[in-house]
Amino acid sequence: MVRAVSADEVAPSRHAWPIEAAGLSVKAGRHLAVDGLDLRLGTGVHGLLGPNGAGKSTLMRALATVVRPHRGTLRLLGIDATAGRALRPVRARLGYLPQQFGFYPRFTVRDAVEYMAWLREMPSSAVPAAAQQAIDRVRLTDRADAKLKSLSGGMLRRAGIAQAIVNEPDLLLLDEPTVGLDPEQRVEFRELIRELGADSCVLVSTHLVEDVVAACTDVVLMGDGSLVFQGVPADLIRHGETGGVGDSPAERGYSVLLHRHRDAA
Amino acid sequence: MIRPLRTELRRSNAPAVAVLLVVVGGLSAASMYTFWQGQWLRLGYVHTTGMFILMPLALAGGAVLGRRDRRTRAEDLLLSTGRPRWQRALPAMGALGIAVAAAHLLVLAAGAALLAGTYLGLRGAVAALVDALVLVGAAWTGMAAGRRWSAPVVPPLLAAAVLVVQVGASEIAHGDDRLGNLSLMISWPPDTVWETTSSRLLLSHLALGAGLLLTGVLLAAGASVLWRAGAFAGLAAGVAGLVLIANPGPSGIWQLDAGAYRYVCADGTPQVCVTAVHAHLLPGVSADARRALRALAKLPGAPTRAVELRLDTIGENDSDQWFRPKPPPGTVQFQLEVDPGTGRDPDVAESIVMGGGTRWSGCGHGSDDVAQAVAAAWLLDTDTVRLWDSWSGFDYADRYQPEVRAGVQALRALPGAEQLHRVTALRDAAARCEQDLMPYLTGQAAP
Repeated sequence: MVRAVSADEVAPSRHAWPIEAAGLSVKAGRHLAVDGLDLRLGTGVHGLLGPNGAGKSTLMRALATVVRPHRGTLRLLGIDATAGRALRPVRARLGYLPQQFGFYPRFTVRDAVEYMAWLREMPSSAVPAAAQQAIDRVRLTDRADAKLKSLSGGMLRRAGIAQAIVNEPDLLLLDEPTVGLDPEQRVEFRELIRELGADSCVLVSTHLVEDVVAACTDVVLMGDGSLVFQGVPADLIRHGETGGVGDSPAERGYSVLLHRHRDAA
Repeated sequence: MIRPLRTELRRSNAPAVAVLLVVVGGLSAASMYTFWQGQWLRLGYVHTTGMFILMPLALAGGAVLGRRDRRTRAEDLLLSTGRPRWQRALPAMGALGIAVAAAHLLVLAAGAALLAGTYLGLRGAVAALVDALVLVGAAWTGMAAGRRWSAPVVPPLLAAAVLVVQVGASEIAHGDDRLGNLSLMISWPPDTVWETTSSRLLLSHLALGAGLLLTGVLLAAGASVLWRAGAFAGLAAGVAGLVLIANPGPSGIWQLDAGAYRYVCADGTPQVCVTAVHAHLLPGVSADARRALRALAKLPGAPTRAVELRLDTIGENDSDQWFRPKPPPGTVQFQLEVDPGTGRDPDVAESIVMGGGTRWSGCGHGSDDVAQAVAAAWLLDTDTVRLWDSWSGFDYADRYQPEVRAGVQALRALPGAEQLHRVTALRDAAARCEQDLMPYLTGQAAP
């Protein structure tokens, strides 16, 4: 694909961390779901792990600029994400797959991906080719003109990933992207996010520890709204060598770290 | 913007809403076809009064589309994108606006196609354009309501509420009560074929359309208290304009369409003219009218010109109003009433020669129809004449057929000069607005 690029796209980045949060608190309704989180994430693929209710999806929504932080600072791609008007350029460079990917069911895959490209303010001349490439990358080429309501759960998830990557985002947020994917599709998905993480910041929220170990350069573990652990997958595995529950060292490491966090609390 | 608009035009509920409006608007117009057959301005009335039901449907259609983001759980995704709120709303609003306006104008265009060859003045289309604006405004306001309140019951509730308000206003309002203006159904159909919606009525509908549009746009652009206050102010102003600008009653609703009212005359002599709305009937009418003028020429001082009778003001739904206008000197008037079954007036010549050309001479409705009919049959060299009217067809005239035939026979039994003398005397008496005419035919009138 050949497309024109804007000056903003080729300008050198002036920020060290695409995601930089300090003392970040985010509410989900009246409940403080993220509480005093300090986090810095650079280029690469980051896996966000944690039990249900740990605040993962709330954090993802805050990083996607859907909800405004309650307290603390949050800088995305070097820009203060708590300032309303400043968000527009950030959102143009953002890709987001929500936990519940909803879109208009009568739209075809191509319609949805092209529409999202327009919403992400891509140049209109670049939209058709970018949409086609995104659809190809998630292996939905033969269903590109099928309506979303006719897709299986796995295909719908892939369509959701396609819309999230159509603008080649600098910051890609994927909340439970592998739900509904079969093993072969999950392997393909891992390859895709490794590719995307080469020059952008990809944050994948998931329950599947083995996905994180296989595809991520960095692991972030949350519990009760705060950061429990941040490190490389090898560190997570190392924690599992001495105990914990689970079928793999990574799963055991996950359970050990969570138990320690709960005991400390 | 073009690509998302195209997508919304195909994938949103805009096509379904358009089809609904075409079906309902089309059925409404079809159910009154005999009323507007051959008459463009009457189609305009049928088309605009259908807004009573079309506007609530557009409102509900908009609410269904407005609910879409929350119903499909697309809100999070959309909120993470950079385009401002108003830009995000624009493709769906544009698609629905295009769909409802096009649907409304399509019904008018289909009606116009059926009326091809008849009078199609632009003034008659203005109401449809204003109504299209009202529909777009209603659809956009419905979208804003659907976004704000996403319960499934909102679209039917909105439509029902607007219908109830309209019906209630119609029921409560009496006479010159402006409250009746809240209903888009026009309770007084136009009495004559030259009447079109008044400028004040158009202005009041324009105010409603502008208010609804403003409401839809402001609620799409912002969610703050200020935006909402502005939207509600726009809505209130639109409704106030609807109620206050138009005058209630037929005189406030209708005005003469100058283009429809002007005379159009047939080539050749004697001169025969009809109003522009009946220009398509002119070939048949001029032949009948000239036959009548030739028959009237048997009498001394006969008229040499025939023109369609027209009223200088809007109609009063009073049959006597047609018998009041006086003809210019040397001119005989006739009223055109078209039979929907044949598309022509079946008694042009007969009605012109009634009473020797005095039926429409400004004396009011004469009571002596039999004497007038005897004179007409004598002039046309027939045994009788049968007049037709749109209420009873030939039934009224047929009641007097035996008397008319007997009168004609008795008249023809007289010497030729006496026959002419008596018919001329009847014509002159009728022109003087005398009511008892039979004695002039029987020779019993005072000399």
